[in-house]
Amino acid sequence: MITNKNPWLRTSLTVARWEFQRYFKLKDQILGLVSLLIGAGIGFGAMRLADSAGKVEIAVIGTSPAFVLPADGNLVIADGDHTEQQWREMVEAREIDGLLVVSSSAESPWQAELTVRKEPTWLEELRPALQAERISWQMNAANIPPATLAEVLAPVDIKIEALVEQGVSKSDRLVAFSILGAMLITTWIGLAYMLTGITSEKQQRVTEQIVSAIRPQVWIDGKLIGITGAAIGSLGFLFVTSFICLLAAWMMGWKVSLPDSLQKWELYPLLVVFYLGGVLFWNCFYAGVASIIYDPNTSSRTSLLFLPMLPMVAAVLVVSQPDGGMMRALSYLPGASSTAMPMRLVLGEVAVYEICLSVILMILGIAALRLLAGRVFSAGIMLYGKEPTWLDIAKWTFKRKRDLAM
Amino acid sequence: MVRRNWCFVGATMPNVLIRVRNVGKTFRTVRAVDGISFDVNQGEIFSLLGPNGAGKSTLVRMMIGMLPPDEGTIDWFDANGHPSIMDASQIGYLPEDRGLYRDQKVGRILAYFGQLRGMTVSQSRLAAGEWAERLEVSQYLNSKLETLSKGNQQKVQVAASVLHRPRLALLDEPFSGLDPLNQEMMLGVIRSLQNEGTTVLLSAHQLELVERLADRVFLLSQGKRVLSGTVPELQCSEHSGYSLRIGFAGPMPAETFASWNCHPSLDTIDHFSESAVQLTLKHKSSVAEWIERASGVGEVTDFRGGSLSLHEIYLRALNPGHKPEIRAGGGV
Repeated sequence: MITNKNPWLRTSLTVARWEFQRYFKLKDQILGLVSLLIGAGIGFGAMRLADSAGKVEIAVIGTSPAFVLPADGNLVIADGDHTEQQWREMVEAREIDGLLVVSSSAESPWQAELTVRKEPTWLEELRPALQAERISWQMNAANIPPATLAEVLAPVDIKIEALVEQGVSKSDRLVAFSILGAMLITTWIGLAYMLTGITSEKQQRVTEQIVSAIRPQVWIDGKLIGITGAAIGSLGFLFVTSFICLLAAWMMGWKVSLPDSLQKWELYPLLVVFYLGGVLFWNCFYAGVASIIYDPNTSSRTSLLFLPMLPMVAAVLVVSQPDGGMMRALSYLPGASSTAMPMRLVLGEVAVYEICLSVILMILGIAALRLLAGRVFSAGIMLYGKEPTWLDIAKWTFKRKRDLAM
Repeated sequence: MVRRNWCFVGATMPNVLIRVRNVGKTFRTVRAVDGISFDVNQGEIFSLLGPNGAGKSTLVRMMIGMLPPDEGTIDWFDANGHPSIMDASQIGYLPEDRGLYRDQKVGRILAYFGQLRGMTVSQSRLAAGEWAERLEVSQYLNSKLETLSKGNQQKVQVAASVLHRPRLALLDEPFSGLDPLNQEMMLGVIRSLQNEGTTVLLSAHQLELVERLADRVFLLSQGKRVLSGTVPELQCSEHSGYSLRIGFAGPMPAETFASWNCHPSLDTIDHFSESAVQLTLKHKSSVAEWIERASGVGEVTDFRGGSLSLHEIYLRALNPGHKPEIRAGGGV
């Protein structure tokens, strides 16, 4: 009888370290980060350049002293003390983009005349300011007191009373989608590593020698730890890159503020638990599926690898109802809960018992899938050049432990 | 070519390491292994031979627990001959279907395989260096495996299988891809493994090398035992014989050839040339009788012979119509 006395933890960690170093190349990550930063820098510079190049300078004659152009737009009033004729010449000479002349008298109606070199694309931006200017002129003409005039012209103030403590702001929604994105990226990286790793091991005929040394379950456990680590490491680099970009943007004067949901510090451990759980769950799934694929280029089973997309897409579809029935169900379902529950935590109201239930179900799901993947993996990795039938896979799943290898 | 003109039967039985009894395995409708029984003794080189698809790999996989047998038993014994449980870390396995991580460095691969077999990180690194030195690939420790020649990759593969100094090394085609010089080197490595106390189960198609190395041989075909024993024992078996080439001063008379062809002590007879014939005797004991018979035909100018090589025995056992050949220099 053959046994394997290698301690599970030590051997799993040996495999995990090997798999991690096989895929997580620090040099490549740094190169990726640098190229991303360079790309972001170029993009940011181009935006700034486009912003400065996009300013439209117009000279204004005959408007009231209260006339202002929108502060968040591209229009600016040209400075200078020139005659109308001089301004016109400046328009022709492309020194300014336009000349706005407003004329009004008791005899003739209020009118505005714009002189430009060509049809302006910024006319719609100018129109509200002119509209306000005309209303102001007409009210002045009707002798309405300035205080009343100011009140009439002031924007409507709406007092909002929300029944829930926190509303779903755009930024919170952005956070929810970022969580989904992080999960998607990590699981995709995990998928790529698992699929290329296991199928290449089969094609390179490495499996038999390893399975003669360690139990397949230990091997798959090590792979899960190592590949999950490598995928998280890659996402970590992406996170660091994003953080550096945000920091740079903040230093350059961009308004960067933390969304409300990210100021709830108690959410962070929960987000980490669901994130790790989700990545582990789907990596178990990928390991099982990859072991029944011989050549990913020709196998029809690669479509199975897109299965994790379904619950994630479902969560996106019901994101507008974070506490609706569908989202609730998804937040308990192992595999979907890793995305749906964090989205609910950010966007909705989740009771403590719901979080506990979701975590417990996720742990049970991971444990069951790990064992199932181990069984499929232990039989599947030894098949070279052919793929097992679904009947074979069902048999392996329910095989007695003593009938399995090692 | 090794010639052995003696038969050695009834060697003392050393301690058994593995006892295989009536083991069988069927894959769907294919009977891969059919009632095989043998013992592998402690410290010996035991060679498992057979054509492709004979069931060798299935048998080996069952021996090391990768496949459960459908029937029969496989028992392991400790150094004192007591039944024991073999730990996977005490086994070194060079499988038939093999390969390593081509995109990884040789040193890392060797250390990793050592650690999988229970060595610590430092032990495995040390052993990786030692074995790379021993197999003359130490200059490639920092090179990726894919940059090495096929022969050097094979050496790395062998090193990965045995660097943890196993109690039992199962080597399937260790000479594959090696040139004659490196085959000799590998032969020395296997002998040194044996000298260090490792039992070796060897499967190879280079039968001349197996003949030089193996203490005992087990030949199977279509999952069944064909013959087994030491090489001298096989040379005395029903599948063996004795080869003779007789040359005459003139052409051999046709009627003599015809009468010899029907002789009961002869297996085969062929013209080597117009004036020479090649005979395969059923037993070496009739050599003297044939010398006398040949002298009666005419002047004998050449007379050479020898026991059949393992290669020839293998061919005769699996293909009874095979005619052995005598090479120059094999005189008696």
